[in-house]
Amino acid sequence: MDEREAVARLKRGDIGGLEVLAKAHQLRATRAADLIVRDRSLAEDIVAETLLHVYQRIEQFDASRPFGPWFLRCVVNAARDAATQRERQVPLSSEEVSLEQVLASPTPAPEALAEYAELRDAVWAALGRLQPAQRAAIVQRYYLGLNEREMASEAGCSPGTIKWRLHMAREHLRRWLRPLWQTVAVDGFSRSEMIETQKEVRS
Amino acid sequence: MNTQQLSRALHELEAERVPADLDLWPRVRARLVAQPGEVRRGRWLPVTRLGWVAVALVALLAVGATARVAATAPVIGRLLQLFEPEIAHQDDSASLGQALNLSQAIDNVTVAVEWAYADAQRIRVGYTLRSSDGRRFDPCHMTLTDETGAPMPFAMGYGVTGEAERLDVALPPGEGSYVSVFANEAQGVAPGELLKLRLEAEAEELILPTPVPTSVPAAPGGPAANPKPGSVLLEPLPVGERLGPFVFEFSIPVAASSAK
Repeated sequence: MDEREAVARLKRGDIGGLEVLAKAHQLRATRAADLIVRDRSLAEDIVAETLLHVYQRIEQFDASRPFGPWFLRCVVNAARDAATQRERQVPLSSEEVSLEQVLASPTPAPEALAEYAELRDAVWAALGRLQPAQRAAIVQRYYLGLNEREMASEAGCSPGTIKWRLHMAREHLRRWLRPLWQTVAVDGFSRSEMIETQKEVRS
Repeated sequence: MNTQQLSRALHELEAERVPADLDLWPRVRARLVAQPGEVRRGRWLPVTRLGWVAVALVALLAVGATARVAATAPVIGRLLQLFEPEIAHQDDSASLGQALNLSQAIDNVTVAVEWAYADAQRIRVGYTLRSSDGRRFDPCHMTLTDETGAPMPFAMGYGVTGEAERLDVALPPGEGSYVSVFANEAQGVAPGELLKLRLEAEAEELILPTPVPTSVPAAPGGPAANPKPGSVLLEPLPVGERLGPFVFEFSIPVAASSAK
Protein backbone atom coordinates (compact mmCIF):
# COMPACT_ATOMS: atom_id res chain seq x y z
CA MET A 1 0.00 0.00 0.00
CA ASP A 2 1.54 3.30 -1.01
CA GLU A 3 1.16 6.50 0.95
CA ARG A 4 -1.62 7.91 -1.18
CA GLU A 5 -3.64 4.74 -0.79
CA ALA A 6 -2.92 4.78 2.94
CA VAL A 7 -4.29 8.31 3.19
CA ALA A 8 -7.35 7.32 1.19
CA ARG A 9 -7.97 4.38 3.47
CA LEU A 10 -7.51 6.49 6.54
CA LYS A 11 -9.97 9.03 5.21
CA ARG A 12 -12.43 6.18 4.95
CA GLY A 13 -11.84 5.39 8.60
CA ASP A 14 -9.54 2.41 8.15
CA ILE A 15 -6.83 2.65 10.78
CA GLY A 16 -4.76 0.24 8.74
CA GLY A 17 -3.98 3.30 6.66
CA LEU A 18 -2.76 5.11 9.74
CA GLU A 19 -0.49 2.21 10.57
CA VAL A 20 1.20 2.47 7.19
CA LEU A 21 1.69 6.21 7.60
CA ALA A 22 2.94 5.86 11.16
CA LYS A 23 5.54 3.30 10.23
CA ALA A 24 6.72 5.39 7.31
CA HIS A 25 7.24 8.61 9.27
CA GLN A 26 7.51 7.86 12.98
CA LEU A 27 11.28 7.54 13.18
CA ARG A 28 12.15 10.76 11.38
CA ALA A 29 9.41 12.60 13.21
CA THR A 30 10.52 11.34 16.63
CA ARG A 31 14.12 12.24 15.96
CA ALA A 32 13.16 15.72 14.83
CA ALA A 33 10.97 16.19 17.87
CA ASP A 34 13.73 14.92 20.14
CA LEU A 35 16.14 17.50 18.76
CA ILE A 36 13.63 20.18 19.64
CA VAL A 37 12.33 19.01 23.02
CA ARG A 38 15.56 17.21 24.01
CA ASP A 39 13.66 14.44 25.72
CA ARG A 40 13.13 11.19 23.90
CA SER A 41 10.14 10.12 25.96
CA LEU A 42 8.43 13.45 25.40
CA ALA A 43 9.30 13.28 21.70
CA GLU A 44 7.63 9.88 21.42
CA ASP A 45 4.56 11.21 23.21
CA ILE A 46 4.40 14.13 20.82
CA VAL A 47 4.58 11.91 17.74
CA ALA A 48 2.01 9.48 19.12
CA GLU A 49 -0.35 12.32 19.96
CA THR A 50 0.19 13.82 16.53
CA LEU A 51 -0.74 10.50 14.93
CA LEU A 52 -3.97 10.49 16.93
CA HIS A 53 -4.54 14.06 15.87
CA VAL A 54 -4.02 13.00 12.27
CA TYR A 55 -6.61 10.29 12.74
CA GLN A 56 -9.10 12.82 14.04
CA ARG A 57 -8.40 15.49 11.45
CA ILE A 58 -7.56 13.54 8.34
CA GLU A 59 -10.63 14.93 6.61
CA GLN A 60 -8.92 18.30 6.65
CA PHE A 61 -5.88 16.98 4.84
CA ASP A 62 -5.69 17.66 1.12
CA ALA A 63 -4.97 14.21 -0.28
CA SER A 64 -3.40 15.68 -3.40
CA ARG A 65 -0.45 16.85 -1.31
CA PRO A 66 2.25 14.62 0.15
CA PHE A 67 1.51 13.44 3.64
CA GLY A 68 5.01 13.48 5.07
CA PRO A 69 5.69 17.23 5.11
CA TRP A 70 2.27 17.95 6.58
CA PHE A 71 2.78 15.41 9.32
CA LEU A 72 6.31 16.60 10.09
CA ARG A 73 5.07 20.18 10.27
CA CYS A 74 2.48 19.11 12.84
CA VAL A 75 5.17 17.30 14.84
CA VAL A 76 7.63 20.19 14.69
CA ASN A 77 4.97 22.68 15.74
CA ALA A 78 3.89 20.49 18.64
CA ALA A 79 7.50 19.94 19.68
CA ARG A 80 8.26 23.65 19.52
CA ASP A 81 5.23 24.44 21.67
CA ALA A 82 6.15 21.71 24.15
CA ALA A 83 9.72 22.96 24.35
CA THR A 84 8.57 26.52 24.90
CA GLN A 85 6.26 25.46 27.68
CA ARG A 86 8.84 23.25 29.30
CA GLU A 87 11.66 25.75 29.16
CA ARG A 88 9.52 28.37 30.81
CA GLN A 89 9.40 26.06 33.76
CA VAL A 90 12.79 24.39 33.69
CA PRO A 91 15.84 26.57 33.05
CA LEU A 92 18.54 24.95 31.01
CA SER A 93 21.38 25.89 33.29
CA SER A 94 22.57 22.34 33.54
CA GLU A 95 22.92 22.14 29.78
CA GLU A 96 24.80 25.43 29.71
CA VAL A 97 27.29 23.96 32.13
CA SER A 98 27.52 20.98 29.90
CA LEU A 99 28.33 23.16 26.95
CA GLU A 100 31.08 24.95 28.82
CA GLN A 101 32.50 21.66 29.91
CA VAL A 102 32.45 20.32 26.41
CA LEU A 103 34.11 23.37 24.95
CA ALA A 104 36.74 23.46 27.67
CA SER A 105 37.89 19.98 26.87
CA PRO A 106 40.78 19.41 24.49
CA THR A 107 39.60 18.94 20.95
CA PRO A 108 41.21 17.42 17.91
CA ALA A 109 41.74 19.18 14.61
CA PRO A 110 38.60 20.70 13.08
CA GLU A 111 38.66 18.48 9.99
CA ALA A 112 38.34 15.45 12.18
CA LEU A 113 35.90 16.86 14.67
CA ALA A 114 32.80 15.44 13.03
CA GLU A 115 34.19 12.01 13.67
CA TYR A 116 34.17 12.52 17.40
CA ALA A 117 31.54 12.53 20.04
CA GLU A 118 32.81 15.83 21.43
CA LEU A 119 31.48 17.72 18.47
CA ARG A 120 28.10 16.10 18.73
CA ASP A 121 28.00 16.79 22.43
CA ALA A 122 28.86 20.42 21.81
CA VAL A 123 26.24 20.77 19.08
CA TRP A 124 23.68 19.15 21.35
CA ALA A 125 24.50 21.46 24.19
CA ALA A 126 24.51 24.52 21.95
CA LEU A 127 21.16 23.57 20.50
CA GLY A 128 19.80 23.50 24.00
CA ARG A 129 20.71 27.13 24.44
CA LEU A 130 18.68 28.24 21.46
CA GLN A 131 15.15 29.44 21.83
CA PRO A 132 12.71 26.68 20.84
CA ALA A 133 11.63 28.50 17.69
CA GLN A 134 15.23 28.92 16.59
CA ARG A 135 15.99 25.32 17.46
CA ALA A 136 12.99 24.18 15.45
CA ALA A 137 14.24 26.23 12.51
CA ILE A 138 17.67 24.61 12.72
CA VAL A 139 16.08 21.18 12.87
CA GLN A 140 13.85 21.87 9.89
CA ARG A 141 16.71 23.27 7.84
CA TYR A 142 19.62 21.02 8.77
CA TYR A 143 17.96 17.83 9.95
CA LEU A 144 14.79 17.59 7.89
CA GLY A 145 16.42 19.32 4.93
CA LEU A 146 13.68 21.83 4.19
CA ASN A 147 14.62 24.94 2.27
CA GLU A 148 13.64 28.36 3.52
CA ARG A 149 10.69 28.68 1.19
CA GLU A 150 9.30 25.36 2.37
CA MET A 151 9.89 26.35 5.97
CA ALA A 152 8.07 29.62 5.46
CA SER A 153 5.22 27.84 3.77
CA GLU A 154 5.00 25.26 6.53
CA ALA A 155 5.21 27.85 9.27
CA GLY A 156 2.76 30.20 7.60
CA CYS A 157 5.11 33.15 7.87
CA SER A 158 7.18 35.19 5.46
CA PRO A 159 10.48 33.89 4.09
CA GLY A 160 12.16 36.89 5.65
CA THR A 161 11.08 35.77 9.09
CA ILE A 162 12.53 32.34 8.48
CA LYS A 163 15.77 33.78 7.11
CA TRP A 164 16.14 35.99 10.12
CA ARG A 165 15.35 33.20 12.54
CA LEU A 166 17.87 30.92 10.89
CA HIS A 167 20.44 33.66 10.73
CA MET A 168 20.14 34.37 14.44
CA ALA A 169 20.23 30.69 15.29
CA ARG A 170 23.37 30.16 13.23
CA GLU A 171 24.97 33.22 14.74
CA HIS A 172 24.36 31.86 18.23
CA LEU A 173 25.68 28.46 17.30
CA ARG A 174 28.72 29.97 15.67
CA ARG A 175 29.49 32.04 18.71
CA TRP A 176 28.97 29.24 21.16
CA LEU A 177 30.82 26.71 19.10
CA ARG A 178 33.60 29.08 18.09
CA PRO A 179 36.28 27.05 19.89
CA LEU A 180 35.46 24.16 17.65
CA TRP A 181 36.12 26.01 14.44
CA GLN A 182 38.26 28.87 15.49
CA THR A 183 40.94 27.70 13.14
CA VAL A 184 38.48 27.55 10.28
CA ALA A 185 38.53 31.18 9.38
CA VAL A 186 36.51 30.82 6.23
CA ASP A 187 33.84 28.23 6.14
CA GLY A 188 30.61 27.90 4.30
CA PHE A 189 28.57 28.20 7.41
CA SER A 190 30.19 31.04 9.27
CA ARG A 191 31.06 33.47 6.56
CA SER A 192 29.78 33.05 3.04
CA GLU A 193 26.40 31.74 4.06
CA MET A 194 26.00 34.39 6.71
CA ILE A 195 26.78 37.16 4.24
CA GLU A 196 24.34 35.69 1.78
CA THR A 197 21.68 35.46 4.44
CA GLN A 198 22.24 39.02 5.52
CA LYS A 199 21.82 40.18 1.93
CA GLU A 200 18.62 38.24 1.60
CA VAL A 201 17.29 39.59 4.86
CA ARG A 202 18.08 43.17 3.84
CA SER A 203 16.42 42.67 0.49
CA MET B 1 32.45 23.45 11.12
CA ASN B 2 30.03 24.08 8.31
CA THR B 3 26.41 23.35 7.62
CA GLN B 4 27.18 19.90 6.31
CA GLN B 5 28.96 19.05 9.51
CA LEU B 6 26.08 20.47 11.52
CA SER B 7 23.63 18.39 9.56
CA ARG B 8 25.80 15.32 10.00
CA ALA B 9 26.13 15.94 13.72
CA LEU B 10 22.36 16.23 14.07
CA HIS B 11 21.82 12.96 12.25
CA GLU B 12 24.47 11.17 14.25
CA LEU B 13 23.04 12.49 17.49
CA GLU B 14 19.60 11.25 16.69
CA ALA B 15 20.85 7.91 15.41
CA GLU B 16 22.27 7.42 18.88
CA ARG B 17 19.34 8.82 20.82
CA VAL B 18 16.41 7.25 18.96
CA PRO B 19 16.97 3.71 17.70
CA ALA B 20 15.94 2.81 14.19
CA ASP B 21 13.61 0.08 15.42
CA LEU B 22 11.36 2.57 17.17
CA ASP B 23 7.71 1.53 16.85
CA LEU B 24 5.04 3.81 18.22
CA TRP B 25 2.21 2.05 16.47
CA PRO B 26 1.27 -0.35 19.32
CA ARG B 27 0.88 2.64 21.60
CA VAL B 28 -1.22 4.55 19.08
CA ARG B 29 -3.31 1.53 18.27
CA ALA B 30 -3.96 0.88 21.94
CA ARG B 31 -5.30 4.40 22.28
CA LEU B 32 -7.52 3.93 19.25
CA VAL B 33 -8.84 0.66 20.56
CA ALA B 34 -9.36 1.90 24.08
CA GLN B 35 -11.25 5.02 23.10
CA PRO B 36 -12.38 4.71 19.51
CA GLY B 37 -15.24 7.13 19.87
CA GLU B 38 -13.26 9.51 21.98
CA VAL B 39 -10.56 9.62 19.39
CA ARG B 40 -12.81 10.03 16.46
CA ARG B 41 -16.20 11.51 16.81
CA GLY B 42 -18.42 13.28 14.40
CA ARG B 43 -18.13 11.08 11.35
CA TRP B 44 -21.67 9.99 11.83
CA LEU B 45 -23.44 12.80 10.11
CA PRO B 46 -27.20 12.75 10.10
CA VAL B 47 -28.26 12.43 6.49
CA THR B 48 -31.66 10.91 6.88
CA ARG B 49 -34.03 12.56 4.47
CA LEU B 50 -37.70 12.78 4.84
CA GLY B 51 -39.64 11.17 2.12
CA TRP B 52 -41.24 8.04 1.23
CA VAL B 53 -43.76 6.57 3.52
CA ALA B 54 -43.40 2.87 3.69
CA VAL B 55 -43.09 0.20 6.19
CA ALA B 56 -40.31 -0.28 8.58
CA LEU B 57 -38.66 -3.46 7.67
CA VAL B 58 -36.93 -5.29 10.37
CA ALA B 59 -35.79 -8.51 9.02
CA LEU B 60 -33.67 -11.44 9.76
CA LEU B 61 -32.87 -12.57 6.31
CA ALA B 62 -31.94 -16.17 6.05
CA VAL B 63 -30.05 -15.77 2.85
CA GLY B 64 -27.10 -14.22 4.40
CA ALA B 65 -28.29 -10.77 4.10
CA THR B 66 -29.34 -9.19 7.18
CA ALA B 67 -30.72 -6.25 8.76
CA ARG B 68 -30.55 -2.81 7.55
CA VAL B 69 -28.82 -0.24 9.57
CA ALA B 70 -29.12 3.33 8.82
CA ALA B 71 -26.22 4.90 7.14
CA THR B 72 -26.13 7.47 9.79
CA ALA B 73 -25.15 7.40 13.40
CA PRO B 74 -28.53 8.35 14.75
CA VAL B 75 -30.16 5.51 12.87
CA ILE B 76 -27.47 3.03 13.78
CA GLY B 77 -27.67 4.14 17.35
CA ARG B 78 -31.40 3.69 17.37
CA LEU B 79 -31.18 0.30 15.77
CA LEU B 80 -28.63 -0.80 18.33
CA GLN B 81 -30.75 0.50 21.15
CA LEU B 82 -33.76 -1.34 19.83
CA PHE B 83 -32.17 -4.65 18.94
CA GLU B 84 -29.01 -4.88 20.99
CA PRO B 85 -29.46 -2.55 23.91
CA GLU B 86 -26.60 -4.18 25.76
CA ILE B 87 -24.30 -2.70 23.13
CA ALA B 88 -26.00 0.64 22.99
CA HIS B 89 -25.78 0.89 26.74
CA GLN B 90 -22.16 -0.07 26.85
CA ASP B 91 -21.32 3.29 25.46
CA ASP B 92 -23.12 5.78 23.35
CA SER B 93 -23.59 4.10 20.02
CA ALA B 94 -21.62 6.58 17.98
CA SER B 95 -18.53 6.03 20.02
CA LEU B 96 -18.72 2.28 19.88
CA GLY B 97 -16.74 0.56 17.20
CA GLN B 98 -15.04 1.95 14.19
CA ALA B 99 -16.55 4.58 11.93
CA LEU B 100 -15.85 3.71 8.30
CA ASN B 101 -16.68 5.42 5.07
CA LEU B 102 -16.22 2.76 2.44
CA SER B 103 -18.52 2.89 -0.52
CA GLN B 104 -18.81 1.22 -3.87
CA ALA B 105 -21.24 1.93 -6.66
CA ILE B 106 -22.36 -0.44 -9.38
CA ASP B 107 -24.73 1.03 -11.91
CA ASN B 108 -27.19 3.05 -9.89
CA VAL B 109 -26.74 1.26 -6.59
CA THR B 110 -24.28 2.32 -3.93
CA VAL B 111 -23.34 0.19 -0.98
CA ALA B 112 -21.63 2.02 1.84
CA VAL B 113 -20.02 0.30 4.81
CA GLU B 114 -20.13 2.91 7.50
CA TRP B 115 -19.50 1.26 10.81
CA ALA B 116 -17.99 -1.90 12.20
CA TYR B 117 -17.28 -3.30 15.61
CA ALA B 118 -15.49 -6.43 16.69
CA ASP B 119 -14.93 -8.07 20.00
CA ALA B 120 -13.85 -11.57 20.88
CA GLN B 121 -17.28 -13.03 20.15
CA ARG B 122 -18.98 -11.01 17.46
CA ILE B 123 -18.35 -8.77 14.49
CA ARG B 124 -20.97 -6.23 13.57
CA VAL B 125 -21.03 -4.37 10.30
CA GLY B 126 -23.31 -1.43 9.61
CA TYR B 127 -23.99 -0.50 6.01
CA THR B 128 -26.39 1.24 3.72
CA LEU B 129 -27.81 0.42 0.31
CA ARG B 130 -28.98 3.31 -1.77
CA SER B 131 -30.32 3.39 -5.33
CA SER B 132 -30.35 6.57 -7.30
CA ASP B 133 -33.67 5.84 -8.97
CA GLY B 134 -35.64 4.93 -5.89
CA ARG B 135 -35.82 1.22 -6.60
CA ARG B 136 -35.38 -0.88 -3.54
CA PHE B 137 -32.41 -3.21 -3.32
CA ASP B 138 -31.74 -5.57 -0.47
CA PRO B 139 -28.44 -7.16 0.46
CA CYS B 140 -27.93 -10.80 -0.33
CA HIS B 141 -25.19 -13.39 -0.54
CA MET B 142 -23.17 -11.58 2.05
CA THR B 143 -19.92 -13.11 3.22
CA LEU B 144 -17.38 -11.86 5.69
CA THR B 145 -13.92 -13.40 5.73
CA ASP B 146 -10.73 -12.67 7.59
CA GLU B 147 -7.36 -12.19 5.97
CA THR B 148 -6.82 -15.93 5.73
CA GLY B 149 -10.06 -16.31 3.84
CA ALA B 150 -11.83 -18.01 6.73
CA PRO B 151 -15.54 -17.18 6.72
CA MET B 152 -17.16 -15.59 9.74
CA PRO B 153 -20.51 -17.32 10.25
CA PHE B 154 -23.52 -15.10 9.89
CA ALA B 155 -25.42 -14.82 13.14
CA MET B 156 -28.20 -12.34 12.62
CA GLY B 157 -29.09 -8.98 11.23
CA TYR B 158 -31.53 -6.14 11.45
CA GLY B 159 -32.28 -2.95 9.66
CA VAL B 160 -34.77 -0.44 8.38
CA THR B 161 -36.12 0.97 5.14
CA GLY B 162 -38.68 3.66 4.64
CA GLU B 163 -40.28 5.05 7.72
CA ALA B 164 -40.11 3.47 11.13
CA GLU B 165 -42.05 5.09 13.88
CA ARG B 166 -40.40 3.11 16.62
CA LEU B 167 -37.03 4.28 15.45
CA ASP B 168 -38.17 7.76 14.54
CA VAL B 169 -36.57 7.28 11.17
CA ALA B 170 -37.75 8.15 7.68
CA LEU B 171 -35.50 7.13 4.85
CA PRO B 172 -36.08 8.13 1.24
CA PRO B 173 -37.14 5.68 -1.46
CA GLY B 174 -34.40 3.30 -2.45
CA GLU B 175 -32.45 3.63 0.77
CA GLY B 176 -32.03 1.22 3.62
CA SER B 177 -29.65 0.73 6.45
CA TYR B 178 -28.59 -2.54 8.00
CA VAL B 179 -26.47 -4.20 10.64
CA SER B 180 -25.15 -7.70 10.07
CA VAL B 181 -23.77 -9.68 12.97
CA PHE B 182 -21.22 -12.43 12.48
CA ALA B 183 -19.46 -14.77 14.85
CA ASN B 184 -15.85 -13.80 15.28
CA GLU B 185 -13.97 -16.95 14.44
CA ALA B 186 -10.79 -15.25 13.33
CA GLN B 187 -7.80 -17.11 14.64
CA GLY B 188 -4.87 -15.49 16.30
CA VAL B 189 -6.24 -11.96 16.57
CA ALA B 190 -6.07 -10.90 20.17
CA PRO B 191 -7.95 -8.00 21.71
CA GLY B 192 -6.23 -4.79 20.80
CA GLU B 193 -4.98 -6.13 17.50
CA LEU B 194 -6.27 -5.25 14.09
CA LEU B 195 -8.69 -7.62 12.46
CA LYS B 196 -8.48 -7.46 8.69
CA LEU B 197 -11.76 -8.27 7.04
CA ARG B 198 -13.23 -8.65 3.59
CA LEU B 199 -16.93 -8.17 3.08
CA GLU B 200 -18.64 -9.27 -0.09
CA ALA B 201 -22.29 -8.72 -0.82
CA GLU B 202 -24.71 -8.50 -3.66
CA ALA B 203 -27.70 -6.25 -3.98
CA GLU B 204 -30.93 -7.66 -5.27
CA GLU B 205 -33.83 -5.57 -6.39
CA LEU B 206 -36.99 -6.26 -4.47
CA ILE B 207 -40.12 -6.04 -6.59
CA LEU B 208 -43.23 -6.34 -4.52
CA PRO B 209 -46.04 -8.16 -6.35
CA THR B 210 -49.04 -6.14 -7.29
CA PRO B 211 -52.02 -7.31 -5.26
CA VAL B 212 -54.60 -9.21 -7.28
CA PRO B 213 -57.92 -7.89 -6.04
CA THR B 214 -60.27 -10.35 -7.57
CA SER B 215 -60.44 -13.91 -8.69
CA VAL B 216 -59.98 -14.68 -12.33
CA PRO B 217 -63.23 -15.55 -14.07
CA ALA B 218 -63.54 -18.66 -16.11
CA ALA B 219 -63.43 -18.17 -19.83
CA PRO B 220 -66.88 -18.67 -21.43
CA GLY B 221 -67.13 -22.05 -23.01
CA GLY B 222 -63.62 -22.99 -22.16
CA PRO B 223 -61.87 -24.71 -19.32
CA ALA B 224 -61.99 -22.95 -16.09
CA ALA B 225 -59.00 -20.70 -15.62
CA ASN B 226 -59.81 -20.65 -11.99
CA PRO B 227 -60.97 -24.08 -10.98
CA LYS B 228 -62.33 -23.10 -7.62
CA PRO B 229 -64.67 -20.19 -7.38
CA GLY B 230 -63.38 -17.45 -5.10
CA SER B 231 -59.75 -18.48 -5.30
CA VAL B 232 -57.04 -16.10 -6.47
CA LEU B 233 -54.63 -16.74 -9.25
CA LEU B 234 -51.14 -15.94 -8.07
CA GLU B 235 -48.51 -14.74 -10.43
CA PRO B 236 -44.94 -15.85 -9.86
CA LEU B 237 -42.89 -13.29 -8.02
CA PRO B 238 -41.00 -11.09 -10.40
CA VAL B 239 -37.25 -11.43 -10.29
CA GLY B 240 -35.41 -8.21 -9.70
CA GLU B 241 -32.07 -7.09 -10.93
CA ARG B 242 -29.04 -8.36 -9.06
CA LEU B 243 -25.85 -6.38 -8.82
CA GLY B 244 -22.47 -7.13 -7.40
CA PRO B 245 -20.47 -8.36 -5.81
CA PHE B 246 -19.64 -5.28 -3.81
CA VAL B 247 -16.31 -5.88 -2.12
CA PHE B 248 -14.87 -4.08 0.87
CA GLU B 249 -11.65 -4.60 2.72
CA PHE B 250 -11.08 -2.92 6.05
CA SER B 251 -9.32 -3.31 9.36
CA ILE B 252 -10.87 -2.81 12.75
CA PRO B 253 -9.43 -3.24 16.20
CA VAL B 254 -10.77 -6.04 18.33
CA ALA B 255 -12.21 -4.53 21.46
CA ALA B 256 -10.93 -5.87 24.69
CA SER B 257 -14.35 -5.99 26.28
CA SER B 258 -17.02 -8.16 24.88
CA ALA B 259 -20.29 -6.50 24.04
CA LYS B 260 -21.98 -9.87 24.17
